[in-house]
Formats: sequence, C-alpha cells, structure tokens
Amino acid sequence: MRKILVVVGLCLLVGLVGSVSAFAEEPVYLGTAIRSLANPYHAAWAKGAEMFAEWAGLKDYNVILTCEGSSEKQLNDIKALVARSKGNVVFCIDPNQSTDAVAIANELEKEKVYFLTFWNKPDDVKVSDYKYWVCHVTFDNRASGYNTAKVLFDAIGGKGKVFALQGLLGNSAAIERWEGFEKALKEYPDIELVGWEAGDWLKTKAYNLVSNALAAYPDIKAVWCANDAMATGAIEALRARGLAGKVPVSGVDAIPEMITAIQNGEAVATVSSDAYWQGGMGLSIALAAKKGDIKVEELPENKREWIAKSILITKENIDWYVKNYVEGTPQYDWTNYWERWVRGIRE
Amino acid sequence: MEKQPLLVMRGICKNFPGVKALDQVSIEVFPQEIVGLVGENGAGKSTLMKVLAGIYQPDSGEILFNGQQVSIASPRQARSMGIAMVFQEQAVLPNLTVYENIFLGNEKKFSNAGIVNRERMIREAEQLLQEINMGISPYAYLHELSFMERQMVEILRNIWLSRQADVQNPLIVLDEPTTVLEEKEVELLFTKLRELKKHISVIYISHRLREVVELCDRVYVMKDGKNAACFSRGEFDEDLLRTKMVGREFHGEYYLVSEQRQPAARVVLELEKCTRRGAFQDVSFQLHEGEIISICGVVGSGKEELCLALFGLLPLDSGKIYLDGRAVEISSPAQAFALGIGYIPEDRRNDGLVLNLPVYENITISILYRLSRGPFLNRGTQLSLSQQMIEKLRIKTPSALALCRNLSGGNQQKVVLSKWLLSRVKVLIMSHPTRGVDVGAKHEIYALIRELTRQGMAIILIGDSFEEDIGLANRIVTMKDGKITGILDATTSKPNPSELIRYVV
Amino acid sequence: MSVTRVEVRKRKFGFLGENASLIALVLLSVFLSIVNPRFFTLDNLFNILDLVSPLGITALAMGFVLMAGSIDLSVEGVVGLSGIVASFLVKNFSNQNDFGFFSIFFCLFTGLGFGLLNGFLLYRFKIPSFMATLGVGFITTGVGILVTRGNPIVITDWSFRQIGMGKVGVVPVAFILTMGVFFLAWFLSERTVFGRYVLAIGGDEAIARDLGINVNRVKIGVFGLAGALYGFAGAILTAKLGSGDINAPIGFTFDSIGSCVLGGIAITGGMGNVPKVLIGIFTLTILRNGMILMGISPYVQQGVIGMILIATVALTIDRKKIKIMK
Repeated sequence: MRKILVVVGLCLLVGLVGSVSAFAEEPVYLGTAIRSLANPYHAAWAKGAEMFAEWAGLKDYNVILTCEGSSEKQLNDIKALVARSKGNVVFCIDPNQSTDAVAIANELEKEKVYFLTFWNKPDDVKVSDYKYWVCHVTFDNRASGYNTAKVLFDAIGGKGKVFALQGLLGNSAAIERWEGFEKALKEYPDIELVGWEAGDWLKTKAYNLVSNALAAYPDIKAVWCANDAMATGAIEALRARGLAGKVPVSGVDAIPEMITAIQNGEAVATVSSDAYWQGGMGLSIALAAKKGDIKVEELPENKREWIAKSILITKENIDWYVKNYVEGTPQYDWTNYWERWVRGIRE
Repeated sequence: MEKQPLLVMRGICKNFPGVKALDQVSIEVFPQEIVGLVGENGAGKSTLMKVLAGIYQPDSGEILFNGQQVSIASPRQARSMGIAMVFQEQAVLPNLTVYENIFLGNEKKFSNAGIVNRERMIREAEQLLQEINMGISPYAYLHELSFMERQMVEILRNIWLSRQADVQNPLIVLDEPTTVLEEKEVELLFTKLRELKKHISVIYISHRLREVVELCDRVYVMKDGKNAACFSRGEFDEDLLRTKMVGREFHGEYYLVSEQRQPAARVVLELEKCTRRGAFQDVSFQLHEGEIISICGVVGSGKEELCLALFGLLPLDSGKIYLDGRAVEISSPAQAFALGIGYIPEDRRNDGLVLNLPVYENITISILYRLSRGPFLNRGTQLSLSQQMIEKLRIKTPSALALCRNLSGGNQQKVVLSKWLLSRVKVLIMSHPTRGVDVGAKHEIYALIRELTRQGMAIILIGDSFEEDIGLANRIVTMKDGKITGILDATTSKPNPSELIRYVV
Repeated sequence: MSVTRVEVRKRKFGFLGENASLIALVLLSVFLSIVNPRFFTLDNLFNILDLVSPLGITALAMGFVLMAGSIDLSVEGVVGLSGIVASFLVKNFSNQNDFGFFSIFFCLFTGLGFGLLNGFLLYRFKIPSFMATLGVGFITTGVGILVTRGNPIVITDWSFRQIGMGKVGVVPVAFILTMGVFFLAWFLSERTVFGRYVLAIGGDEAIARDLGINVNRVKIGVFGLAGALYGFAGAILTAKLGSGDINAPIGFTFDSIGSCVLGGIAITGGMGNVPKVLIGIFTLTILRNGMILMGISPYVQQGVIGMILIATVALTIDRKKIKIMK
C-alpha cells in the first residue's frame, strides 16, 4: 500500500514540475523576411535586426529569411519558421510583391503571430481588418523622387537636358518615385527630359543605358536615377567619358558607394530610409505587440498604416550623415516606437 | 586461278541468352570481289558482321584475314586491320567538311603540337577524292552532300585508314546502302563499287534482292543463324534467293496474284485535273471499290506529293476531287480521315506510330471514339480488339501491352496496318508499306493488303520496287515529271518491269 | 590540282545562309545610320566598342560550350565571384592588398577552377550541363554574397581600372584585350585539334567517341576554358565598374547565349565559329544602342530583342537533335 502511494506521489510531483516549466517564458523567435543579402540595403537591414536581437537578448533566436525574388519561397519560409518556433515568433517582412502581403497576412493571422510589414501592400487592403498585423510602414517614395529631382535640377541651375533611369517597371517603389520625379519636372519649365530607360535597379544595366544615352544625346547635363545601384553605374559611364563630377547624378538608398560619391561631388543627392532602423524597429514593434507593450486594438488607424521619416542626403548634410551613420553605428532607442512616425498613409 | 581468300570465317558460333544467333557459320571473301549477304531479319546477318567488326566476340570458330588467324577484339582493331563497317546510320558528322570527316580522329598524323596542317589534309583528301571521281570537293560540308556522297566519304575514310595500316586489300561491309537512294544513285553507287573493286573487297548486305543479283559476284544466304546457301554469279535469281531465305517456294505467288480480285464497278474516288504547282499537273483517274492502284514513277515524278495532297497534307492549286460522287475539299489530315481516307506514311517510325505507347493503344488509336462509353474509354474492348488483330495479322509481340518501339520493323508495320484495318476507311493510301521489312513479313503484309480489298477498301500504293507495284496492283498509273504518262492494266495480265520503265523515265 | 565544286544539292540558303548574321549586322548598321546620323559618329562608335566588353568574352566562352553541344548557366556566378576576387586583391577600401595586375591571374584561376568543376560534374557524375552549371552558378553566387556580405567592394587602384575604362586614342583598352582574346580563340578553334574536336563532339558525340576522340577530355577542356574566360571577364568588369559586385553580371547569361544565337551559332551544337560570336555580340550591342538612338519606348525594347532571338533560333536550330539537350 505504501509503495503505491509513493509512486503516485512521485508522478504527481513530476507532473507538477513539468506543467510549471511549460508555463515558463520561452524565448521568442525573431523572423526577418527580405529579398536577398546580396545588396547593401538589405544587408544593412539584416544588421539592424541583429542589433535589435542582441539588445533584446535574443541573438540566438534571430532568423533571416531571404527569398531571392520568389514569392512562393517567402511564404514557405515564413510558414516553416512558424512551425519550427511553434508559433512563438514575430516577423518583420518586406513582401516580395504587394499582393504577397495579403497571403502572408492571412497565414500569420491564422497562426496568431504578430508581424509588421514594410514597403509593399495593395492599396485597398486595410491593416485594421487584421488583429495580428501590427503595422504597415512605408516611406514616401514620391517625396524621395521629388526631392532628389529638385536637388538635381537645382545643381544645374534649373535648366538643361536631363536623362532618367527608372527602376523595375511595375514595381511600386519605381512607380511612385517616378511620379515624384515627374511632379518636380513640371515645376522646372527650363528642364528638358530627353529620354528615359528602365535600369531594373541594376548597376551594369545602368552603365550600358547611360553610355548609350550619352552617345544619343551628347548634351545631357544631369542624370536622375531611381536608386543608388543605378546611380553608381551611371557615374562610371560618365567617368569613362571624363564627365564624372561634371554631370551630376542622383539616386535613392544611401549605399556606401553613393555616400562616397556625394562626398566626391560626383553625385548630389540620395535618400536614406535607414535600413538598420527598419530591420531593428520592425522587430521591436512586433515584439512589443506580442508582449502587450503595444496594444494593437487601441492603435488609431493612422498608426496602423503609416509613413516613416526618410533622410534626404545632399552635399549640405553629408558630413553629418557620415559622422553619425557611417563612421559610427547609429544608436537606436528600440522602445521609441513612434519616433519616426510622420503621418498615416491615407492622410 | 586459285587465289588466297582475303577473309575466312569458319564455324562461327555465337549464343545470346536463350537464342542461338550463329550456329557454325562460315563464309569466305576473296580479294577484289563483291559478296552479297542476304537473309531475313533475325537470320544472323548483322550478328555475323558485328563479330567481324569486333563488336562481338564469337563463342567458337576462327577468323583468318590474309591467311593469318586473328582475334578481333574491338572496332578500332578491326579498322586498323582493314575491316570496316559502313552502316545506314552514317558515322560521319554532317556539320564538318569532307576532309575533316575523312581524317576524323586521326588528325595527329597531320598535326604538330596540337596545331593541324590544313593544307596537307586538304591535299591528301583531294587525292582520295579523285580516285572515286565524283566531283566532291574537300571543302564541302557533309550536310550539303547527298546520302550517297556521304557514304562514299565514309568509305574513303576506311580506305585511307587501311592504307595507313599498310593493308593492301581492305574489306568494307556495306549494310543496306541503298534503302534511301533513287534509282540513278543506285546505279552510280554500283559503278563506283565496281571501280573500287580493284582495291577493295565488299560484303554487301541488302534486302533488295534485285540489286544483289545485279551487283554481287557471289552471295551467301543465311537462315535461322546458319548457312542456307552459297551461289556464284549466274547461278541465282531473286526467286531462288527468296526461297532459300524463307524456306518456302514463292514464284509468282509472292504477291498473291491469285488472290487478286476484280474490282467493283462503283467509283470511290475520282480525281479531275488536279494540279499543284511544282509537283504535279492535270492528274485525273478513278479508283474503284476493292481496287489496288499503284503509282509508279521515279523521285520527282510527283507521286509522293499526289498522295500527300490526297491526305490533306499538301494543298491543291486547282482541280477537283470526288469522294463517292460528292465533290470534296481535303484541307487537313483530320478532315481526310473524317471523309474516310487513310494514309500510311513512308517513315512509320516517326509518323505512323507512337513508339512509346503499347501495341494495343497504337492499334486502336484512330477509333477511340468508337470504344468509349460516354467520357470513359472501354479498356476491355480496346484490348480484345487488339488481341484479335494480333492474331489475325500474326504480329510477333510478347503481348498487346508491349511497347511498339521494341517490335521489329515488320511487326511495327503490321501494327500500323491493323490500325487502319480497324478504322474502316474507304480509301487507304500506302507509301512504301514494306520498306525495311524482311521477306517473310512482306509476304504476310501482301496477304493483309489482299484482305483489305476483300473488305471493299480501295488502295493507292507506292511500292518499293516495280515488281511490287506490278505484283500487287489491279492497275498501274505511271507518272513522269508531274504528269500521268499511262494507266496500265495489271489484272488480266502482268506487264514486265522493262515495259514500265518506258513510261517512267 | 583540280578541285571541282560540289553540286550543291541540299544547302538550305546557300551563301546567304552561311553569312546571314553578318549581312543582317551590316544591314542593321546601315539602317540605323540613316535613321539617326548620330549612329556613325566617333562618339557612338567608341560607345559601342566600350559596351562590347566584357560581355564579348563571356559570349565567346559560351560559344565554345554551345559548339560542343552543352550549355553553361554558371556564367553570372563565376564572373561575379572572379570580379570579387579581383576587387579583394587590388587596392580597395576593405583591406591592405595591392596586387595590381597580378590579380588577373587569380581571377583566371578562380574561373578555371569552377569551369573544371563543371566539366568534372559532367564527366564523373554524368550530370547534364544544364543542371551542373546551374548548381555551380548558385554556389559561386552564394560564396560571393557570403564573402562580401552584400556590399560591393569598391576598388581604388586607378591603374588597374584602366583595363576597364582606359582608352588608347579612341579605342577602349578593354576592347583591345577582348579582341586579343578573340584572336587567340579563333586560332584555337580553327587550327588546333582541340578546336575541331569541339565541333565534332557538338555534331554527334556518339560518333565522335566511336572514332576514338576522347570526348571527356575535350568537354572538360571546354568548360575549363570557358571558366578561365569568365575569370578574365570578371576582372575587366570590376575594373570597368570600379567595384567587385556579385550583382554586376546579372543578365550575362541571357546576353551571352543571345549573342551566340544572333551570330548564327546553333544551340543544338556542332555549328558555328569564333567570328560568328563576334558578329553576334556586335549585333546585340548595336541593337540595344540603336533602339535608344531611335527612341524606341523602353516598355517595348526587351520584347523586340526577345522576338528577334526567337526568330533566329527558329532559323538555326537543328530539329533532328531537339530531343537531346546536354
């Protein structure tokens, strides 16, 4: 009789200990879904995620998922991480295409996983229709296109022939930046756009297109590019003809090569969305929502879908930028979630 | 004059699992002679030649070349000894030039540290080309040459190789060299071979018995892996060869002339002044129910194009076609089939069969709609119908489920025929239906053709030889340069091939 | 010495067919110079010569592979990785190396190494070239990303950069180097046993093997040669663009194969020669240049090139061989 009581007691003890440990805090996985690590922009994004993970004590649980341009892979990788972490995960995502945001959102809603998205989402989809989609953050691509164009036009005195390189046609960032460019173009009647080509965001392609453009239109005075990779390609094509520094170039993304070019006077403007910040803050906000530090239900509409501050970098503030962002790693207060909030998307 | 034989193969035996391919076979070839080798498919001709070429090793027996006993371990060794095989699938590269092909693989003889001396190669090629005197330039690309010219290049390569090995009288085995040649080219080939006889000996393998009779000094007949007969020139003709090959007497009955029927009076198909620019003009004739019409002519006479046009593969420029009295426009094969016209193409492997599908599927492929119940296919009926055909036509196949690519040529042709037999077309156009098929199977196919006519099918036939055209037909339509030159009766009495020639050339 | 011309019976298009690509190129150039006189200015001609390399070198490499009857999809990865090797070895912002022109050898060896890997995979494991080279392409791209962490390695060695952007008079140095490579390749293809065997194997591998040609050795050699050429191209690309960038060769696969096709090299193998590759690369470059000179809408340009390529392939392909794509 005694033996039976001992056995039962031991079982109860084991059961108690087991269930207590089941309720103990499991570390949360941090998932970052981006296109690829092969470009400086996303490479910085991943570094930002790392910085945050380190700060949050979750370095070993930081997972970077690259989809190499495949929407299917992106969704599958996300699902796999959810399974691996048994749902104990938060995501910061740069959807491969706008439409993918919906598929991903549906999946993560189903699994009750908190996440945040950047850049691409269909206009008519409302984040507030979802419980676990904390925020969608984008940058004012139109402003980027507009501002860099203005700086470029001013650099040649407001008049002359200009050539432009668009990004991948059909990509929403490309379309919006181009709209900004066209708006600026309207405001400068003495600037003539001799032609434009699609550079597909690539440096070599930009080189070839600008090289051909210079042969076709010999009196090009400035080149506007929708991103920095293309801008640096344009600069090399100009350099081959001894025109680097004489014909100004603008871009977007603030990659290291472009920063150097602005310092050298070969480029005049670029825009930083601060990929480090994106990588880290995206995760921070999602994690805060999971922990309850941010109550998603209580957020107003314009804090669910919002535009974040980007930094226009020109000759004027290049030294400041280099000092704070290149030579030092910027310090971020990961709990200051709304620090860069500008306005809601629909305002 | 007693000459030493160049080649002696004595008592050669070769077994494969379950099959005795060669059973004590012996042949001899003397210098400067052309020896024919005939036999049905499976008689052992190719196996014997593969032993000679070093591809197979004999289980027993001996081979003597130039009086020396030799053991031929590989094709390379055979070639270096002066024995070469020239197959139908030519071992030349069409994308290279003549001189490159002649010396392909042996450039070392012309090169220095990896760099070739093209001038020397070209000069040597020219010398060789002059020996055959056919006007072939060493600079020509092989794909520009005709089939026969390419064969000559291959032969030249082998001659050159044997000279390199100091072999005086090389032996060249030609395997079915004339299957795709026109009459003119065959004559040219024979002339060249007779000229080359001074330097080489030839073993000539062919199904075309007429050619063997014309060209060869001696002939060996093989049957079931054994020697069946050996004749010298003057001692043999086609009938005798056929008899020895199959073991049955044929004579005139090869074409089953006795089963020939008088065609019915009803006109099934009528052509009125059909023309296609560049191919044929003003072709008119009538085809009756149960009749066989052969169209005879050399390549370029328009006979092939006429058949293609009747099946909707080539459009007519002008003229009318009447089917059962109604005027029709045949604009596509699907339409032709719907009208009741069928076509067995020359190239059955690529155009007549789906090789990767089993026999029963190929047999029933044209009548699937008849075998379906609603949207579902009645597999059972498919199989039983096919089995009937297999038995009726004596198709040699392990089962109805075997893949067609595994059947021999003759049996593949039977599958194609049974497909059309089932389809119950009114008019069946056949282009070279027994090409590449061996003697025994040919006879069975002729029997089938007779059966088709008994069922009322009308047949338009392009045969492989005048004999076939004459033997099978009720009437013969001769064409030359696109026009009909004559319509000969072949029912009451059979014309001679020599009479036919007057109409076609 | 009496050489009689053969009675050409089965030639499809005759003289025109053999030189179709050259004639097309000439016609295209004439057409463009009429439509936009700027085409024939010195400035534009320099521009065209500048754009021909290093793509011309990769097209040449691809030409050899195609003639041998295979295909090479590793070009982008190997060129990119070799370019990164170059950028690490010359003066740059990331480390203290300063090997100068000597680094070109390292690029060649990198390319050669991966090319031999392609050949080895084909020969030893019998993996079709399509898959093997695709895999090697992924590997090299991955290594490139790993090693650069996504950031292009900017170089500061201005004398090294001259091989990419320097000029002799009005002719780019890179173009002169490219022509040098083409000349050597032409000699290799026309005058050596190896060169002829490449075409033999592309024509019919089985027959070539039967006749005693060491097919494996030649194929490994072809891929190795292609790899070395990619290495050289990578060095020139880095010099031209000023940085070692794994993304820089994006598009090279399509353009290399496209150049070969436009020049008249059959992708089924066995047909073609070095001058055709040269014609092809010029045709492609001039096409692109011409479309910009003519002001053709960018929305349509890629489609135009696609259509021209399809038409050219349809004319040159050897339909008997379509089942086999090694």
